[in-house]
Amino acid sequence: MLFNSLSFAIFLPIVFALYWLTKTRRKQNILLMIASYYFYACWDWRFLFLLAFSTFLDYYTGVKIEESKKKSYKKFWFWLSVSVNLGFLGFFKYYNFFAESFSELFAGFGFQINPWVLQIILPVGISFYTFHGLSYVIDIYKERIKAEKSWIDYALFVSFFPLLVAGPIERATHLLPQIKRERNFSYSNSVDGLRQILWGLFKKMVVADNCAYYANMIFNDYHNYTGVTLIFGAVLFAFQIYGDFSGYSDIALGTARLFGFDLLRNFSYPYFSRDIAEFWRRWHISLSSWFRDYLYIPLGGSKGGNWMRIRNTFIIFIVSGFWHGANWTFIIWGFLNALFIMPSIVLKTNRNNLNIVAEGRTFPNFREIIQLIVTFSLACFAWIFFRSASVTDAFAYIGRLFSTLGTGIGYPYKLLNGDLRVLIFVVIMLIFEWFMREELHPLRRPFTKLPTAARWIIYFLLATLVLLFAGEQAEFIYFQF
Amino acid sequence: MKKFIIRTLLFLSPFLIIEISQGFLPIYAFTHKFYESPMYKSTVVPHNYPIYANQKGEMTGVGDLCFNTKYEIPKDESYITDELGFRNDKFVKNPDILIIGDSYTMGATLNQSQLFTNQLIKNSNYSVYGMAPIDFSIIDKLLKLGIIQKPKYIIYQRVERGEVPKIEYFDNSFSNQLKYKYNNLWTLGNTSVFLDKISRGYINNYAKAKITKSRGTGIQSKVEDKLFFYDTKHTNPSQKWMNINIKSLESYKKYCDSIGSQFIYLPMPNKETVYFDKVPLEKQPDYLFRIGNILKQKNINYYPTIEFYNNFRKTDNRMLYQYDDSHWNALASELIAKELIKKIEEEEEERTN
Repeated sequence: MLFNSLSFAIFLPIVFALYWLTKTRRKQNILLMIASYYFYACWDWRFLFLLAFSTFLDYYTGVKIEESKKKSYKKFWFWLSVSVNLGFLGFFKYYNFFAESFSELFAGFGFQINPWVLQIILPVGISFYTFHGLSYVIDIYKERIKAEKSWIDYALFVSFFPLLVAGPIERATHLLPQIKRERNFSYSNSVDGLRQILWGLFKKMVVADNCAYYANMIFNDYHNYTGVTLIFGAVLFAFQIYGDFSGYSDIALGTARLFGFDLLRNFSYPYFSRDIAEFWRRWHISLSSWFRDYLYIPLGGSKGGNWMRIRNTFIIFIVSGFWHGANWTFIIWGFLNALFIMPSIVLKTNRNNLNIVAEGRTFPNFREIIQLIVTFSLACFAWIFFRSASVTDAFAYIGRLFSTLGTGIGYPYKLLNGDLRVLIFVVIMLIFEWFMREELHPLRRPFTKLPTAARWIIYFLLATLVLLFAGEQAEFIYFQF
Repeated sequence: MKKFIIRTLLFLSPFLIIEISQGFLPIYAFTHKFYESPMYKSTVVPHNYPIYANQKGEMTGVGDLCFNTKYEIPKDESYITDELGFRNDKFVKNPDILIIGDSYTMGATLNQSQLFTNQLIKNSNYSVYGMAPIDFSIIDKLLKLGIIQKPKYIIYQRVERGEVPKIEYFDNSFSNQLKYKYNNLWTLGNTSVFLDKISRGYINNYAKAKITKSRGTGIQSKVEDKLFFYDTKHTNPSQKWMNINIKSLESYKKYCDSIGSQFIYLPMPNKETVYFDKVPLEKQPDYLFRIGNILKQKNINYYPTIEFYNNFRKTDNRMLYQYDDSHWNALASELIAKELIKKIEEEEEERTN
């Protein structure tokens, strides 16, 4: 069930009504858990067992870790959970990748090996709920939290439908206390949730899906385009993936708010970043912070001098790339981002831009404009690898981009055939986000200080744009991860 | 909570009213061609077949290639869909000839009386039932569910540019049987049709088309202004693509042999293959000739439509396709129906001798 589908438009109000009609917290949690399992079953009911098993494993090992008196027992239960979780993830997501990569490696040495490739369907959201479970078990092992005793509450923590298939990757320290707390209906929170859903739908269905049409056209047939069009393709993909994933996150956060939950923020206007370090503090925040807390810091973080910082940065970016999928394109994308962030790591300027760009001002100054353009260009360059079907394609795309840079300058306009809708949608999104960049989402205060009529006109216009100009691509990109 | 619900409903009400009103309007209210008017669009509405059942009416349609231009040609289209939703005057449980096809069999831009199936009925004594647009795999489902009896002839019609998909066997499990009955319950009461109509977003599409001044994107002939073509990309398909199609056709033949029916493949040439000289293309695309030769070697029965069309054009100037549409016209539908009956009768005679 997709957030941008009719079935979700029916599902959400029904669950919402039943939820607030249910009086006790326990019953509300049971209802949400059933709804979440139903939501997941709409993709493939067979994977419900996997979800339930993964939940049971982490719940049980969590309790056992806490109960164990001896360090060795604690270790046993901890490593059991980690290895089974990563084992499932590795099997479903990476088995074929490793089998084929080994076969290619051996072929390079003249040995022909037929890898035992399996027809594996990747369970939707496995990377996300595995990371939920892992963070929970690690936190118990490190004695940061207590093990959850209520199976229902823990199962809801893992399966809560707004975040189940594509995050944000929640932490037990953040979400579990909310699950255990009495929740009362809040008018302002619910209205704000709906506003965020509307903004998310606009970003996904209008911006991302319309960008997708042209980005797919260019990337799928890049041999037949020249430099400027290929740059145009990369820029459109940058807005496609941003609209797609941040749109999804907005809908997830808005939906959760309807039920009285605050999920972790996942995006904070990443294309308004002045360097790559800032970009990564604003892009897929829940994943970046997960890797920071559960990989970068345990590896020593930045305590051991420059070499350790460099090594650890490369490790987390490459692992982050690999997390996205079993393809070398993602690994190179991660590597490139590590490379781009390196100057600021070495010069220790990576925490220079902690505030919001042009804070307190309407427009950025010249220096900031240049910084924004450079950062966006680097991000776009890396996105070429992320989007390409293979590394060969990515290099061919970049090669062609530079070798034909001077030709066909007017072609992107011809490609659009005079229809500038997609650019208008991107500009609308950027204007809203720029002026509201200090807010969680653009339809928040000070937007809400506008006269009611003006706000409602804007809501109607956005909803009309969603209904009239929704693009063709329905699926969210991050579902495949 | 009350305030929240009232305000949300107030905000949504214009959109809901617009969407729900679609349910009460005729199926063709916001489309220009019959072909897409009665098709189920929503995946959440329960239904067993791709088209609304038990529909009857008339509409003015235009072709798919140059709508909203001065070249569009309005056509009166009457239509009847039967209890399964396919475009037949009535459902036939025990047909002599079962046709499974695409939009050609469904009769895009044709009147009910001009349909291929009705032409076959008119020109023979056979009982004929047409199912379109749908894949060959439907037969296995219909036979296993006992909805249709085994026909003498199964004709598979497919346009040249269309892929011939692999046969998929129906899993006649208890749960699938239940699912079929459950979907039928919805369809019988027209509830599915209503739900699909309110959810298919035709008003939105219509408004969008008006705002963006959408028009047909067919390729205009360089020889004749009013003649349009679908595209010229599919005139030279790869060998790999042809092999996939041949493999599928082999499996269809094998399936028909296994149930004791005669299989006939009826390829529909692309308009640009027949009128290659009017696109113009340098030479006539030869995919159908190549596949014909291979099918002959493999002993798969087919009707050489392209050869018939070529011979026809040598002596007759009348058009076989619509000017503003990629599909055949009533004349071609009638001619091919007569030819097919002739072929079937000849083969029956051969068999009895």
